[in-house]
Amino acid sequence: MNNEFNYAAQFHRLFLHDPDVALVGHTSVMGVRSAPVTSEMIIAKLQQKLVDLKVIKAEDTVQMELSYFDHRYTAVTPEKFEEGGGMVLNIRAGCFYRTIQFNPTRTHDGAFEFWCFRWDLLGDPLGIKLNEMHNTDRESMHESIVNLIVEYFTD
Amino acid sequence: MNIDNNNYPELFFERFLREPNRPRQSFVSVLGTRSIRVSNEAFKAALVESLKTSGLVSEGEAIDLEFSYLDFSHTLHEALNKQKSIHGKGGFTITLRVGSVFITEVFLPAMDGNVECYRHAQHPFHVVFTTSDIETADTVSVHGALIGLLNFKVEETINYLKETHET
Repeated sequence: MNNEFNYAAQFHRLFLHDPDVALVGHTSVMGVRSAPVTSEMIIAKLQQKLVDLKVIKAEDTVQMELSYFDHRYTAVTPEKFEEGGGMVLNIRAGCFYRTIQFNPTRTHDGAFEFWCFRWDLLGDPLGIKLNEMHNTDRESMHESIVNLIVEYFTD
Repeated sequence: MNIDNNNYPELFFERFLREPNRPRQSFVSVLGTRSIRVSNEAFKAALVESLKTSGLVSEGEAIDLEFSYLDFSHTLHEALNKQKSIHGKGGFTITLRVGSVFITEVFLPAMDGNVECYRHAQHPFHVVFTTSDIETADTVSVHGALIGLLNFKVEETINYLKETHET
């Protein structure tokens, strides 16, 4: 199935999934796909930061999954599907659990992006441009995502 | 069914979003996130009515809703299972599909012990449920708050899609 237009699936594949690892996702009755984060690099980076900050212990595990609406299980047209819903990142670190929401938006120049807004954070929200996704360095994206998650765990 | 009173998302779903005595259609992800279809007929009917009144749903267009949260019965962490406070438990998510438009709203625990849904700064819209609300609030008022929020988000999304298609 061609999933190119599904930006959340694309984001998962590009930055959160290791191609060598089997992807065991689940799709809910309504069509929400929960795809585990299999990238060992981002998991290790997040775990190390949380340990350094004493949020979790070294032996605690970190798990993440990305949830998004999966058009393959609905009658939603791909064109509208791409633009509507956003995605949710669930993270469990040790005995803590966080949920981060990303909303779709469009910039003045017409580029499509999705953003994580935090009403109570003074820093810039994490923004990912859809049309630049393929050109974004995997490591720097991991750094941005990890920094955002750490803010959620430490505030 | 044995409902753990410390698990406020599950309690919230059972009190406000499940049709009494109807079997739960749900699944649990690898991480332990449970997603359940919203079955409460009164809530769905009121939501459809509100969407119709606002001109956001056409005759014959289907709506579908789902509720997600971390299911503590599927976690191995004893500390998480025994946690009394709602802090750090992750909140819950409501996903709604109206025709071909779909939206997601996240309700997060706040430091004062409530669970809150904030929109971003450009569109301030704030819904708060206290722990007391979840146990004692009347169904109609909770449904009303949820419907107001969902209606707002659907309208915003439809407007966004229209603007996008015009540009």
